[in-house]
Amino acid sequence: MNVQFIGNTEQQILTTYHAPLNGGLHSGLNGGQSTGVLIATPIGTEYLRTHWALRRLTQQLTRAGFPVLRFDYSGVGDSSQDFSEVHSLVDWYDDLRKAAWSLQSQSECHRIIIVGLRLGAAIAIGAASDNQGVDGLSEIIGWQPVLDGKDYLQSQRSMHACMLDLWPTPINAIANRTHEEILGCLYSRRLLDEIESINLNRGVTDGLPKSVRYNDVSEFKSTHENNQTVGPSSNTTTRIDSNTITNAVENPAWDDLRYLEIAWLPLQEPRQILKLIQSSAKEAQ
Amino acid sequence: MLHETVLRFGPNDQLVGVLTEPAIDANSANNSSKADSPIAVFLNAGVVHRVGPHRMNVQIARALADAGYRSLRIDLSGLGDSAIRSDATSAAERALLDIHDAFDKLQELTGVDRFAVIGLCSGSFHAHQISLIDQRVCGAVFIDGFAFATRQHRRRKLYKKLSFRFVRNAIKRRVLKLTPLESLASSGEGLEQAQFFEGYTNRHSIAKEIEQMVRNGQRLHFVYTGGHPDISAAAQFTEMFDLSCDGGQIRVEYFGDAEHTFPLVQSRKELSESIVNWYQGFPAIPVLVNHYETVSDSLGTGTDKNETSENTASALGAPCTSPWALAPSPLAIPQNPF
Repeated sequence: MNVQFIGNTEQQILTTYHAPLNGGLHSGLNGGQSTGVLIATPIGTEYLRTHWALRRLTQQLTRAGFPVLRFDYSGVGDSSQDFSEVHSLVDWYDDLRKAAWSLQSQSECHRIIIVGLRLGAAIAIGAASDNQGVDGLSEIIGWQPVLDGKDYLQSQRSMHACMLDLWPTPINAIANRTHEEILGCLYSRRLLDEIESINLNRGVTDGLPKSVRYNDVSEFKSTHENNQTVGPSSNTTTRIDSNTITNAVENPAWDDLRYLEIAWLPLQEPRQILKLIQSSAKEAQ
Repeated sequence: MLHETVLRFGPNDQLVGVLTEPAIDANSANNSSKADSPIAVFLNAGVVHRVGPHRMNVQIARALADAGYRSLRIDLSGLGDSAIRSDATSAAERALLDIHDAFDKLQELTGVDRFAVIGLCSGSFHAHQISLIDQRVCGAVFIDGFAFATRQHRRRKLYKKLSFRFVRNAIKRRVLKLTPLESLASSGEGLEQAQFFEGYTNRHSIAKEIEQMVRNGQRLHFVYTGGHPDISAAAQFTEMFDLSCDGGQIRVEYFGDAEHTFPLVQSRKELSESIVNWYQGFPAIPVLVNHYETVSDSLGTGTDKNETSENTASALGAPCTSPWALAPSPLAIPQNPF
């Protein structure tokens, strides 16, 4: 494992690279058909709740021979900046591109699959869709993806309001012309506007030159077999499954205030993500 | 500007931490006077990795760096990015070895042999333990650490329960189905301290240990929040331990409006200011060198390579000689999948 900061001092992001185990079945040693996996995390409290789940997924991927890189966006985790200083999703797109470059340079992989959890899925799709794209990207797997930014923020705001309402003493959080506090994060208004504009239900991924799969966990097999093709795309197929429905045992309860600080430790889902990646790597070969 | 670098330590360098250092201005006497100040070491709260609940460790570390102090936020073995160590028998023993290894690494890199440990909840528990056994600890911040309900506390709690807001909130929680999760440690109300700290349930033994820390010359900062079910005022510290907080070696602060994990921006800011303010009370140590290098420089990732590298150990750096407890746990583990 190689934990390091990349980028200049003022805008450095923390990356954690995990080399493949088992001789690197899917690493750069494997006849040019190498596949690396980049993990795009959620933000805010979801980032903290899912840290273990993503580490677990990483362990399973490296055991299966995939090089994996995790990273923190600017203003998140150990990376530089305060959350309130992030004014645009574009900043996070840039971070993701830097992380992808770091993964390629450390693993020598030619092909990148991004696993985007929650808002991480939207960030990955955003980065892949804009002018710069992501070098080497072959597929994005949206894991419990945020498909509708408006719904996402509404849910976050609702929990935040409920938390304040149930506070032992009357209390206010920050909300002014430039920033709004939601569940412990101080969002800039511009960033909120951009998150609110995320809508992956309406064919926003049309024209996206990469394959996008949204895993449906409880109905994994059936949805995997019944992928819908949505919209025309230039070279490859953009496949959108239904949004994730989780089973009760592994319920992450993203919109339940009681779970706000409960670590989410899914057992089944990382295995299913692993299967998706393995099948994708096999197809590429 | 501050420097942040990754530090590996422990057996086979399998433990991970992030070192935060102030920017170095070679012309500033202020900087060099703080080169020998104790280095703060942040401990994990529950299973939250080194950034801390709501990223509070990062925020405090950077505030300390702005004030001229260095800090290291670590992942204890098995948490965050650190691997599990195999040379210890229990989790408690592992944690103490991890902290000890972090001190060794920092001492080796900087020459500084004084440390201040900062921990919330279970981090506070570990901070308490390491403060008792490692002579290099010269200060500690215990956030929502040991607390014991007193008669006065029960009275204050009763008044609170009779308040309109308490009753209103109880009804709302029931209506909104937001009653605490039964099977998890997220509700501190129903938990007994003994569940977490067997052998540490006697407040007299804790008081004796705190006294020992004071005798050893350690500066102690106790921070409690309104989210801790067993404490309701700063004055309760004296009620619990029969120790006076004269503002000297022991400082006690009660953040009544804050929750256990400081989920609000303003409360984290106040906590950060409180800790930086407390940190500035460490006595200045005479400076033996005119220059010091940042650890990032010595690791080869710094920016100013022209600085003279000299040992910054202080001649006067005399060794001075939670708990998840009661409050809702930060990121409680619902089940162990491993």
